Amino acid sequence: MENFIIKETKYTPEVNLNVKEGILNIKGNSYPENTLEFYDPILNLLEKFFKDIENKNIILNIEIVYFNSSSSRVFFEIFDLIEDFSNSLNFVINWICHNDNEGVLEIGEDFKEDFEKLNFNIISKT
Amino acid sequence: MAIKDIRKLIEDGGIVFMTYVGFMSQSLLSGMIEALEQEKDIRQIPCNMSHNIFTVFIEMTQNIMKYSKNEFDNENNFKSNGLILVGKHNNENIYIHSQNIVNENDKKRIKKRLEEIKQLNEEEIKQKYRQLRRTAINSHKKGAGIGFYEIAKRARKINYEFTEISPNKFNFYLTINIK
Repeated sequence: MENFIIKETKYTPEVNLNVKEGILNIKGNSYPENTLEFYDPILNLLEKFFKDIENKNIILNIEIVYFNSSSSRVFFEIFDLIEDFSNSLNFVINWICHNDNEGVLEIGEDFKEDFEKLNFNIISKT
Repeated sequence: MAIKDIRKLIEDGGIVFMTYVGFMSQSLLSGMIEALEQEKDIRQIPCNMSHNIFTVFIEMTQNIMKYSKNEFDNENNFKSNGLILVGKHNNENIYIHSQNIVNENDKKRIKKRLEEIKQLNEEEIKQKYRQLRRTAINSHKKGAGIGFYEIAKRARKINYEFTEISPNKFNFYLTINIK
């Protein structure tokens, strides 16, 4: 499997998967008009990645500024997929936000509660 | 109407820091977000409040885009036509107002959802939002109705009204007071 990069636009995030390192970064805004159209291929790719990976340690860094409700649904779906594989793989999820942005922080805390089993860190950046 | 009158209207209606009427598109939305970013810095709006403004603004604008794609009687070429503005009632209280045309089915759906939300308190809205997000999983259908809950989570108050234009065509007015 090869590395995968989607460049950031004004309303879609950068998605960057480093297969060898086992690191997935999602960073930027996320409010496309057709959210599922944007994320479906990414979800499929992630599933394949989780199945094929040799390295058992995976880090997901997610740093989103503005997003729409359908993106929030998709993030839930990504965490759900991770949960499905959490018996065979070791995941670390880093939900990154700027420390003065309570909105993003709260959303991260909700996800953390929804996925108690996952290693879900909320990281405040200054 | 003279351009001066428009300015007066805007000033009388509270300090409106953005208003747009017409065709809504995705690139316009991101342009408006950029302009809002600047306004936020100039007006020194607190970060948590501005995040609420942006989230509600995105949701409301994309709603206008979504509903205008549905069919209307005798009108196949309907465009994403709407109005959105951000204003201040007094020094602190920020509101977002939108106006667009919806058909009968959407009117029913929207009304049902908003009435449902009005019955809930803050905590119940949060719980329902998370429940909807959980059940929406794998049901790839468009809009599980979570959008209005996304708005409600960040609203101090929601006001709405429908007025009939013709039997399958209604004006939908929505005003959200931001937390």
